[in-house]
Amino acid sequence: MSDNLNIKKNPLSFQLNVEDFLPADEAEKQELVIMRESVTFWKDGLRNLFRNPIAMASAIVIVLVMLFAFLGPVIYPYDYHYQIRGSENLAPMEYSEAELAAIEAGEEVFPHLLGTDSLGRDYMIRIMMGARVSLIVGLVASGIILVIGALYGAISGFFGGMADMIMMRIVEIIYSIPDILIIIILSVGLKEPLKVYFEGNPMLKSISMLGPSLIGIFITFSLLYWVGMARIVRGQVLTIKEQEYVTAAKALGASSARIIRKHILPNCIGTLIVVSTLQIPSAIFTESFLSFLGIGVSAPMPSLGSLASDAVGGIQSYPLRLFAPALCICVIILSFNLFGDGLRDAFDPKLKK
Amino acid sequence: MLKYFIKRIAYAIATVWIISTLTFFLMNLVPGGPFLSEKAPSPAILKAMEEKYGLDKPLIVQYKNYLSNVAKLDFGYSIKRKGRLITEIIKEKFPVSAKVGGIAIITAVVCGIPLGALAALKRGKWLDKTIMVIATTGISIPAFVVATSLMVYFGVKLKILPTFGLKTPLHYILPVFSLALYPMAYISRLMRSSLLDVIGQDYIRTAKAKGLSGFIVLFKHALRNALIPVITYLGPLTAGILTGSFVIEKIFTIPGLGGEFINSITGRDYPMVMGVTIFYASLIVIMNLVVDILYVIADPRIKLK
Repeated sequence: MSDNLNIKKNPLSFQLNVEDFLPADEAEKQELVIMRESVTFWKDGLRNLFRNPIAMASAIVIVLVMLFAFLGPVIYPYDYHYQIRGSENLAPMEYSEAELAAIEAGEEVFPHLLGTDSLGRDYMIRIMMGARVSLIVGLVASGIILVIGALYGAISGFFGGMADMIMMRIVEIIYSIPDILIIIILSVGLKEPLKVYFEGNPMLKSISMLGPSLIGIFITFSLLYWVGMARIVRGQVLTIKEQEYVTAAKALGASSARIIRKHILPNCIGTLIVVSTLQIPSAIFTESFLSFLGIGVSAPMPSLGSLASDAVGGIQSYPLRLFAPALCICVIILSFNLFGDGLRDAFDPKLKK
Repeated sequence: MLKYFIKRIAYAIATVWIISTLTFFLMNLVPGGPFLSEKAPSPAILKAMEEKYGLDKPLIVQYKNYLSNVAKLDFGYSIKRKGRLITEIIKEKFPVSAKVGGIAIITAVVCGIPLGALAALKRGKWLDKTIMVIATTGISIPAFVVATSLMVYFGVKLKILPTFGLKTPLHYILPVFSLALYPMAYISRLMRSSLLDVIGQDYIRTAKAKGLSGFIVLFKHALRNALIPVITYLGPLTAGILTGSFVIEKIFTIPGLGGEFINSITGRDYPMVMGVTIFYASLIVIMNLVVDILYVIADPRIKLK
């Protein structure tokens, strides 16, 4: 206190108290800090997301389904197109006579967890492969849609004027085309030409493994479904474009490409993530619909839709063959829908419909 | 106003033209003609057949003929169902589909709107949560899963409802429900969020402050505006019901146009595929047009450009 400063002070004087002007020590400084650590957009969004139990539960389900679909077939001892003679139409966990004999002889035979189908193919692995096809379709399609839609929308919104008008007229026309009709016609029409194209081109062997109809589905999705994304991105860009920091960047002489890359796209990213996540279930939905009608993926590659479709005939004897793939589709679509809703609430509350 | 309608109609025609062109060229891209399926006919017969259906002319001539015929609403003859005009087949089969689809649309709207409104009014309560859980599940189940599960449970296990054909009103229950579930769930979600949006607006507070009863505020002020997003959904809804009917008609063996369309695709009946596609596309485009007009009537705030 004042005793170590040794300044005598007349109690009536107006002399200022010297103590008040000493430099603050560290502890005092800390006390005065009222700011919390700054919360960025990402931290804020992620925190909201982690607090949402439904979104977290569905994220876990999505991870489990992915493990099931991508890691499952690697570990599982059966092959999705291998027909085991004598093991047709087995019930879950049942063994065929040949397999029983093998067990008698001391060999280890992995049980057919969900039985086998009418051609003696293990059903569990077929469901795993079907889930894989569905997930690939969902993820790849929404990736394609994201790229095309975001670029198109950003360019259209950013440049405005004549370019915007023409680009939006094109979007409007594509928007009013009934999608399923065109998807059906395109996937029927593209199937054979693609098959011929891939067979003549050994370089594309790895892509053709997916099957021409799957690629037809990707092409049709990317031709039609980007328009919704383009519209949303354009709307976002139109608002962001008017912000002060964009004007500042323009005044500093930044090029259009730089402004789109550095200012506009990063600010749309919340919306982009949300919209493309919600695009995944709708792509899976459409694929299973097409496969159910028999115009999706081609045999022997299974898809959840075609598995369900094949099972309808034998519904009375083997109801499990319908319910297993049906349940699998529902779980995948539901978890993506719920996760997408959670993402939207966390990152882009404005988008809430 | 008139300018707007002319513009919309021009768009509609452009859309139908694009679809017919796309359909025509895609169908011609597919190798393997319609006559190759079962027993291969002799080259002479094949040639005669191609001549009869005009398939021997150059593509561009075929396209020209085709477009002028489409403009005259003449889709030609079906190849698989010999001697039958496609227009005739559509006339015969479409009413069946339209009946099932129409009932499904009405069910979806009539059940979806009150459910969504109820959820919005009871926001956060258990009723809201229950309705939303059902609705979210509803938009996650593909129609074919609903249809097959219902068929197994009510038709095969309990044996209380018929599972194929359309003879009695009872026959309609399963197909209509399977068709209507998705749009119903979608509409109730849409309705809930749009009503919540409207309830938060200033004019609702004003209406309440004036001392109007909750009933009048809801029905006269809130619902009218909250219905607008639902109206915009009516266009896509029709499209959804139409395409949904492909699966439903296949599962319940309903003799409608949807099932016929799928058969003609697998049978490569080009004229039939093209005819039905253009028919459906025009139907959807017309529905969208009607919705756009309704939209303007329902909400005078929307300015026509």
